[in-house]
Amino acid sequence: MNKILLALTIMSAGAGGYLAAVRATSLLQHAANTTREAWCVQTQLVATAQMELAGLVGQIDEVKHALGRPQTVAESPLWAALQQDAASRLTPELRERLLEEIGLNWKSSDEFILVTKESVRELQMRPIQEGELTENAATVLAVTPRERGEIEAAMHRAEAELDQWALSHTERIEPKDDVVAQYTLQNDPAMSVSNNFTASLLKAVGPQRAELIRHSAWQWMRRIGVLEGSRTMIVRRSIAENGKRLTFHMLFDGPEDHVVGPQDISERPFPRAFLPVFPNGWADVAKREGFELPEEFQKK
Amino acid sequence: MNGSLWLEMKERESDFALLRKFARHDDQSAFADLARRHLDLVYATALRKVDDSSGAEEIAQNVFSALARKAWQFAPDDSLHAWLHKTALLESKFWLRGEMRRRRREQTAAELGTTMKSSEDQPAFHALVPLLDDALLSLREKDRTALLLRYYESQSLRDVGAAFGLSEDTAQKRVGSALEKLAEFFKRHGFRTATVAATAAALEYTTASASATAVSSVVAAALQAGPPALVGLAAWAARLATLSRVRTAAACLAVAALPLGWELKQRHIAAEELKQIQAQYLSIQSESAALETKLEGLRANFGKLERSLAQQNGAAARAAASAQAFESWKKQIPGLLTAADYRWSDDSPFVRIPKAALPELSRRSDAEPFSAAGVVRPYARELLGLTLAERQSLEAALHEHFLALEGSRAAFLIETNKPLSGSAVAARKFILPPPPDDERDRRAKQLLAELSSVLGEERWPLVETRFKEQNVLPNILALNQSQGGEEVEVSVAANDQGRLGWNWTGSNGGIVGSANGELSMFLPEGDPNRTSGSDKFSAGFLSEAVRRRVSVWLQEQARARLEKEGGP
Repeated sequence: MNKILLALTIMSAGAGGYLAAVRATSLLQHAANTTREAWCVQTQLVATAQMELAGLVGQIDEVKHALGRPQTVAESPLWAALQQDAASRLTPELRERLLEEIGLNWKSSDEFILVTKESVRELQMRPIQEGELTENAATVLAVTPRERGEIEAAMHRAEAELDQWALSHTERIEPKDDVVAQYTLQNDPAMSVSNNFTASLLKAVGPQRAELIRHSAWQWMRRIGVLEGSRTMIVRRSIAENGKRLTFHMLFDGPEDHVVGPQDISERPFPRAFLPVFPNGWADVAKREGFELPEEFQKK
Repeated sequence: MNGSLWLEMKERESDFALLRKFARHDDQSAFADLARRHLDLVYATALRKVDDSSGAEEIAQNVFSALARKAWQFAPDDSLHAWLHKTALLESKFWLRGEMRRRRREQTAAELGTTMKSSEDQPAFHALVPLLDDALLSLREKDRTALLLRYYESQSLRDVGAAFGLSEDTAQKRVGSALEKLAEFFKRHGFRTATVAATAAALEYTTASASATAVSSVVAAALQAGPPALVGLAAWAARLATLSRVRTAAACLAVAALPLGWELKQRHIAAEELKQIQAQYLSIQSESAALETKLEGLRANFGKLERSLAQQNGAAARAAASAQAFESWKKQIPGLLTAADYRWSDDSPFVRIPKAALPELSRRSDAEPFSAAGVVRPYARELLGLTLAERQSLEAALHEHFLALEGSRAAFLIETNKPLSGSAVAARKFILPPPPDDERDRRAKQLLAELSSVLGEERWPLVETRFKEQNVLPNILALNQSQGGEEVEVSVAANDQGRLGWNWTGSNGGIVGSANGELSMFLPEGDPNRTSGSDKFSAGFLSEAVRRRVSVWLQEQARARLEKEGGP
């Protein structure tokens, strides 16, 4: 009986060990199978990756080759500059290159010459002279008769508005001491005359030509007294070697304070700004203030 | 070898050997020998228990029948004597139970009393007999076997020793020791007179020999029971049973180890395989990771290249479209020269001017066509419709004119000291006399001839007007006959900040001018205190000859006064 027990014990232990070994083997084989499956999957991935790699290398070579090919057509900097702002100020170098590129020069036409708008700016022409738009400026700026009519109408309106302003804003100051007459024309704080004229000019010919005309127009407006500040005309009586004299000077009070004179009233024309109030000039002033003009002035 | 010797040798065969022969080879003679050898032991034991010779024989038959059946179960180290004794006692017990049931109405306590006589009529050892088997069972198997061999099989001490592998003396000592233990058993059970001698006497008394017929009948009955045909697992079990414990253990271990070993080997193979596949997996993983990294880099690179290519293609397409548009536009522009309905266009960079308007334009313009630096102004290039070559020819003529003029005038430059005034530390006067009239006239004619040659008779009048009707251009080109000389007074003085500065006042061709600046701008190049501006010093007003001489003097002053002081 003991032997059987011993045998059973040993066999049981053996069987237990065997089963444990079988289980361990099974686990190992399972792990091996799982790992093998993962290895197979990974191998597939590697194969796919290698294919992709080879494909990418080929594609990269193709792209590099394509990138290495020289550009057949380069974008013209001239055209790029023109596209950015066709009418803007081109540099002198670009202008010269542009004309060379197009082949425009003196011999291109018997009648006309093509120049850039920047050249017209640099030309510093005076489109408005003696209160009107010059023929030459009208030709260069291609001003049509209708446009010219609008500009001249605007100029007349500005003069009329200025006259109206002078009539209503001229102040008399009571003379004293050697002062025989003193009148002050108040400035238009709203600059309505110049603003109206500029707006009319812009409307008539557009911004580019208005800009080319503007400088000359301002000079004209300054001459007729639009752009100056308030001004005071003072007439004084003085005694010179050759007898009594009348002198006047103008005080300008505005952005550019200055004094003109004193000068003999016979040496300068009557100030344009005060003509609406005194249409006959010094004669009307003398009559209004009760003083006598010099004989030589009366002879003139 | 005679027959008695052969028998003796056969008797020497161990009980186990005889049983193996019987169990494996169905050797009935071996079983008969075994029965003869131990029948007395069994018979005496049974007789002692049942006190009936026929019953004892029946019990003996049963015992040997059981032996025949279980012969395969015995191992070499099993004691057959002990087994026979024990089995005989068990069979006796069964027999007595059956017999008692059969006779229960007939047997009386008196009969039993007759069987077991009182101790007064019997010797003292008789009292020990009923407990003798219990006493024997209480002994260790080896002691019991020794007593059974010695008394019930009447073996000599030498044979007893041989059965145990001991010497005769040692066998005697073992038999004696067993008798002492037996006596002790009786004493523990109330038999105070039980001695070793009485015990031995009881054993001697209870020996009995079966009859010769009993031997043959027992063997015949036992052989009828016969050993079973042992095949398969039973045979294996029989084989196992015949092994010793050590051998059994070894056999079992061997049997158990075989699949275990095989399985362990399988496990080892699986482990190796796993190790190998894991190594492969790790390798492929690292390869995969490396590939992935490389792929990422390539993808990024490819993406960048693709974007670059797209940009390049886009740029090429734009360039092509731009070139096409530019070419188309260029073809349209000359059309402006002939267009009957020409109007000012805000979108065009060009203006068309009638050539007939150019003389008036030239006369009325406030701008001069050439600068003092000998450059044709851009507007003049266009109004005169100059080609690049014509413009370069004009400028070359102007440069040549100015260089020659400066060169001839520099020889007449006079440099004099000037009295110091105010905070001035140095002063100098430079006088450049007007060029001689004949020299100036010669150069003027030469320049005008070159200019008219380049411009031609159609365009030259446009420039000539500026010479004839305006005074500015002749001044710029130093051609005016009324142009005077050039006088410049230069001084070095400390300015309001206490720094040394230069100052000049002077006239050039009747035009008065002045300028000032810091003296440090005339320090040598590379000096850490040098300030910029010396290259444009008074350019455009002073003649080049005067400008160069004044610069040299101011450089000397700067080195002498600023380098010595260690700072401006």
